[in-house]
Amino acid sequence: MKSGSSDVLKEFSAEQVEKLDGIIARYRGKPGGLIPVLEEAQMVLDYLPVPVQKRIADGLNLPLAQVYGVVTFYSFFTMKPRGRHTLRVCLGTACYVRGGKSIAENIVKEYKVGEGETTPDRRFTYETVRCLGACGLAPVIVVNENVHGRVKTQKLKSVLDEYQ
Amino acid sequence: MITLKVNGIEVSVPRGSTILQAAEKAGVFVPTLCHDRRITPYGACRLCVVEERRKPGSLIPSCFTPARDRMEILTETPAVLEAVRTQLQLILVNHPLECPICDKAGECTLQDLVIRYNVTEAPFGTEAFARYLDRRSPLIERDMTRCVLCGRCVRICGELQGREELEFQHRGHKMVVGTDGGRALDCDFCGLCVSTCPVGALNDKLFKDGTRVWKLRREPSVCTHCGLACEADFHLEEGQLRRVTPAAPTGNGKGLLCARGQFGWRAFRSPSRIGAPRIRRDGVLHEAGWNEAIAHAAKALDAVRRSHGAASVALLTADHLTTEEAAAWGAFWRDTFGGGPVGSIQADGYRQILETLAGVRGARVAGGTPRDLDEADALVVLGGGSAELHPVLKPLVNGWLRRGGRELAVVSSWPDALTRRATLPLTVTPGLVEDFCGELLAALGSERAGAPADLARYGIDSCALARLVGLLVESRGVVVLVAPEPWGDNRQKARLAAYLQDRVRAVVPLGGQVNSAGAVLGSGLVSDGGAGNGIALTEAIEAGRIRALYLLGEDPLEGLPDPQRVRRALERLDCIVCQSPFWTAVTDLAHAVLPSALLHEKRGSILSLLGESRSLRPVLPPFGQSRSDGEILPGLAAALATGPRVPSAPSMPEPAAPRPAATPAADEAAMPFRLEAVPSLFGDGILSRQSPDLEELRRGLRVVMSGEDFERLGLAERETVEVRTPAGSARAEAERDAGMLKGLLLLRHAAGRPAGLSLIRQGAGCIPADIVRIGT
Repeated sequence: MKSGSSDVLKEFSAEQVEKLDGIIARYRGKPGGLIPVLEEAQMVLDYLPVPVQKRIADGLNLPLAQVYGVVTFYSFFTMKPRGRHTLRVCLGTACYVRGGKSIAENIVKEYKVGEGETTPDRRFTYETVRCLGACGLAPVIVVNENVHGRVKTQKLKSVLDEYQ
Repeated sequence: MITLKVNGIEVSVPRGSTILQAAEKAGVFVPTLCHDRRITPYGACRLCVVEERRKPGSLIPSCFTPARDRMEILTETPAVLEAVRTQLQLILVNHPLECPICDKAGECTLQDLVIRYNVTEAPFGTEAFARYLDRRSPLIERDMTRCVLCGRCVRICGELQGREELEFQHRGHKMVVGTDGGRALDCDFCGLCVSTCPVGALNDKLFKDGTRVWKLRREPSVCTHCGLACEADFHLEEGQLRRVTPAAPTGNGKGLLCARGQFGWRAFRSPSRIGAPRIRRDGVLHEAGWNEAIAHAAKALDAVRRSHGAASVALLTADHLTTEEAAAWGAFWRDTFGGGPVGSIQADGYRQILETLAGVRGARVAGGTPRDLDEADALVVLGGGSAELHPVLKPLVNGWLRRGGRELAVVSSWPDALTRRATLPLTVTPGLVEDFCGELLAALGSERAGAPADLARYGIDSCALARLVGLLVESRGVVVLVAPEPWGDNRQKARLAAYLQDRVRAVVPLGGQVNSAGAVLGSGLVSDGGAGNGIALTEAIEAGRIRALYLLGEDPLEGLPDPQRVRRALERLDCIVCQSPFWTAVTDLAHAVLPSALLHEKRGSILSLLGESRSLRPVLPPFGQSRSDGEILPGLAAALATGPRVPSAPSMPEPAAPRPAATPAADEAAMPFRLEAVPSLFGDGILSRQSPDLEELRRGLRVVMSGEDFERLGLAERETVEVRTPAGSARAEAERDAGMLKGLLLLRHAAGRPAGLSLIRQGAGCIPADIVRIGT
């Protein structure tokens, strides 16, 4: 594996690519090394597009199809860049009837992001969840690790403005 | 052996057999969907469940459960039937019932089982998730909505073909089979995935939407694209060929075929087929009757024979004739043209090696049979490109390796398909494989327990070399495959093979055309003086020693390096007779054109490279007025019977020795790469070249380089570049291969292309080369 990064990897810095190659080198030839490599690679690169998978497959001497199969199997791995913040809206029964639905619609409209997608400025990755067990606080949104309860649609923007 | 009862029928099977195998032997039907005897059992579909009499209620998947002694297996208990029916209903939840527009209908395993088990209701509903449909890939269409996720395509691609193009993706109800990133297929196109798919998810595009399977008649026949002569089933509708599939994997048959066999059949009715004989009059080719054409050819040949002697007429054969025809032609040639030169272009390397092995004509060669290959402890492959010459070697060798504990040693300068699977890959410096084989022979012959002296020159690791020498010295279980270089010199390889012949289990020369083995071993269609290579032939024509050429399906213009020089030489000839099924470049220079039949249009036998005798019967009607080579011969022989018999010495010139490397010209010294022409996976032979579908896969001339060189040159994927060598220059599509040595270029698909052939030299092995980006 040479350090000269090909054009397909140019969205990553030379430093990131070097780290990726280091991770691959540490696990080369070790059985069962694929998942730890993918995990560490995602830590460094944030996401795992096909060219990265190709580099990993070549480096570990595995078929690319197998790497791709593993990446798509586990929900932990992502092939799209994630946002700086993860925004989850609860659509469990209680949150849904107390306005979760309109919060979700609002986010889609205001931040131009579909479910499971990332905003174009990579600020948020937006997901929905089914019940967080905090129905007393409904409707609930979770940003990163922080739970915000009784969120009103009007107050949504001020809550999210904390996360840039 | 163990003995058990299946539905009361007592049966004995070897220990380790599965219950399913025992049931098959007892003649008891067990339903299966995910099972294919070519690959490892998987147990995904759960249709093969059976019960043991002493353990009622516990359902056993029979496809991967080993049979035990004194088992009593029941396959049709109410519990089993109920389970099978429910399982079928569950599979149907995600399978669209579009049988009326599905090409698989009539030979669909799922459809057959649904009917057999009388599944008439869908209690779980039938809402198939719409999944993707890949129409972009060449030759294969993948409709994932119809897929039942049995995994047969994934496993056959990985286990047998070793390509690992397909894999399961995603999870749960979103799971599909696909390529990385959802791109179009870019694989060997062996078609094994299509042949194993139990439903209509993988389709042969050449067959799709053309007819219904129950209108087809299945004729067992043989693939004629290379010397392995694999068994294949031809499916005909009212005399028209509609598709070719691998023969069912029963008995000894392995049920394997490659892209050429499965998708190359449209060559049989290519627009280049010649329908009627032609003769040259006033410089132009005119259609003529058979008698007239044969008389014309005979007159011209007779004139040459009378004025320059019988040995001035050379015969070039593509070995696309039956063993019987080859015997008749061999006898005719010896009688009429004084045993004059007989050679081949496409099978030249094979013939060189075989004739060294056999020593003299007619001597029996202890060739390797499929059984030798199966039971070998180790395979040693001398030379690169074995599985490119004969693609079915790939699944054969992968199947053999799968049983474990086997050694596969490959001596090659480039990462061919078998090198990638080798347990002992020996990568020799490009251009030095021949020298290496010579030196290995010297080392083995002198019992010098050691290695060739100058290891650094070959770039081989001394441990690897010691292992190779160990294999060749000690083991009787070794089978040696010898892969000739196309247009290269193969004499050292041949001598090494001849030395090893009595010491190892078997030596198998590769590179033969469909009936090269039959033509050489079975019927002696050879020169007394051995085959000559292309450069020797060209030189003999230039020197005036050869004045006429009889071409049996062969074309020097499309098959030899330096086509301009070859054309000038051919234009000096007094007479060229083209007896071929196809109109190729040389046909325009012919004095007489005799359209011959393809092997599928005649009766006879052929001998495969692995010594299997196959009998052929006509499955296709003759094309136009074409006649078989055997039918053409009597007229020609009669017309030439009265001439003088000139006994003459065998005169096919000795293969030209590789010239001593002269001081490289200034431009050569400045060329940083070494270029090697390698065989095409999709066939270089005259038949494969006529197939439009194989040509689509070849995508023209291609040049392959290491990833490092590719990036250093700043090339884009599939960029067209100019390749320059001291012999010429041509445009080719650039491709990268991570496993290649830096500084090496591989030239693919040169055969049949003047541009490609103009880059290389006969016998050179490697040639200096340079890559120039177009527009810089």
